[in-house]
Amino acid sequence: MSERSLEQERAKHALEAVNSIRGKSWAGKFRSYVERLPPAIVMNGLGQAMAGELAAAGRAEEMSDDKKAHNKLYELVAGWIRTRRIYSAEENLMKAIVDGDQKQYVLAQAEALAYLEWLKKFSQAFLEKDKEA
Amino acid sequence: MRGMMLGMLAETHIHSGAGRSEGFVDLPVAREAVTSYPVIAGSSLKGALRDAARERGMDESIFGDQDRAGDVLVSDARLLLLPVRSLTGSYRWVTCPHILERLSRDMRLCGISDGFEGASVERGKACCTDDLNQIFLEEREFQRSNGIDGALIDALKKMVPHKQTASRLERQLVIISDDDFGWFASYGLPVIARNKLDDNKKSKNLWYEEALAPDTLMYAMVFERKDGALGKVQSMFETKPYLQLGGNETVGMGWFAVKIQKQGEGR
Repeated sequence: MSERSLEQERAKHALEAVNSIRGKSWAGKFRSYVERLPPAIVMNGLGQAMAGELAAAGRAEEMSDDKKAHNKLYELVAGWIRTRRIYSAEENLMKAIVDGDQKQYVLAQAEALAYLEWLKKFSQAFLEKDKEA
Repeated sequence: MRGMMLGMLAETHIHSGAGRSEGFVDLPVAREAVTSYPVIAGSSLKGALRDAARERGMDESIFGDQDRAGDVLVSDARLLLLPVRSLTGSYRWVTCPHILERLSRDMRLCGISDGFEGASVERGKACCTDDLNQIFLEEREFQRSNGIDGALIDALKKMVPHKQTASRLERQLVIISDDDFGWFASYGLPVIARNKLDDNKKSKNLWYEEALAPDTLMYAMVFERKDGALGKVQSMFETKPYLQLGGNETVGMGWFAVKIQKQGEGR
């Protein structure tokens, strides 16, 4: 059994993520996208909001800063939901969301929001504000 | 002690805030700590009532001052019906057994007879008067369960200030389980994006705030410590049955239509 509480686990995951982004050219963009994602999840639902991030990240091999930031955000949230084992581990998040049942969806959304609170806090604390946003 | 009930129907968005918080939006609405239902604190409501009295040129001394307790006791405004968007119909007024039980207890506290049966519904199911098999609320789907007690609909109608609005209740009311309702109370409120633009019309400060949607129905209780105080509160709403409350007044938010339900012998 884990010695840490769930809130600590979320905070740890988020803090490590933000530390790895510090100093990157797209850190500012990441920060502003993190701020926008939680309201988007509440307004449009987890599936729509995450699909939106995925769409913004695009498919290009050489990603622009913009796309890198969206992609990282998608990967982090999907990664955390995977850690929580709401869906079976191998599945990709979008597939898991569309195949899963409502109980899982409700849980995944709540987890995503709880995690994003930490990610947002740490981003605001450690990443510089994007000048263009 | 005599009491009365204020049925409060939101005419506009309402933002009774909790300050800056740890939530998923920058400015969340105030919530009950235990249930997470949106709430308007009694102190906010009392302040709004005092302001309304002042604005109407009426006696505000019933609300007391620093050296003297007031003549009325004002409760929190509690949530009764939450409007939720739905694919099956324009929107639904959603509530749950726990809220209805609380309403029934509060009515008795005010000395008003409740006269309706408590509801019960399983998780994943929804009571309504429609004959649809499924009901969609936001992106969630519920299986139709029982109908709704007519006496309950009548009791709710008495809380609604407008006749025409009350007549829609029967059609749009949905009762879901306490657990399911908790999710909508936490995540089902409108989130409003606001922004401040600089001289070049570029964003300076984007922020998100949560609000109660128009047509949210709440209620509050008012008791009197001194005979005649309730009558004074009631008379405030005779000429103008509205109350402004909470933040963002100058951007058109915070208006409730108020309906007072007859006072009986309380506690």
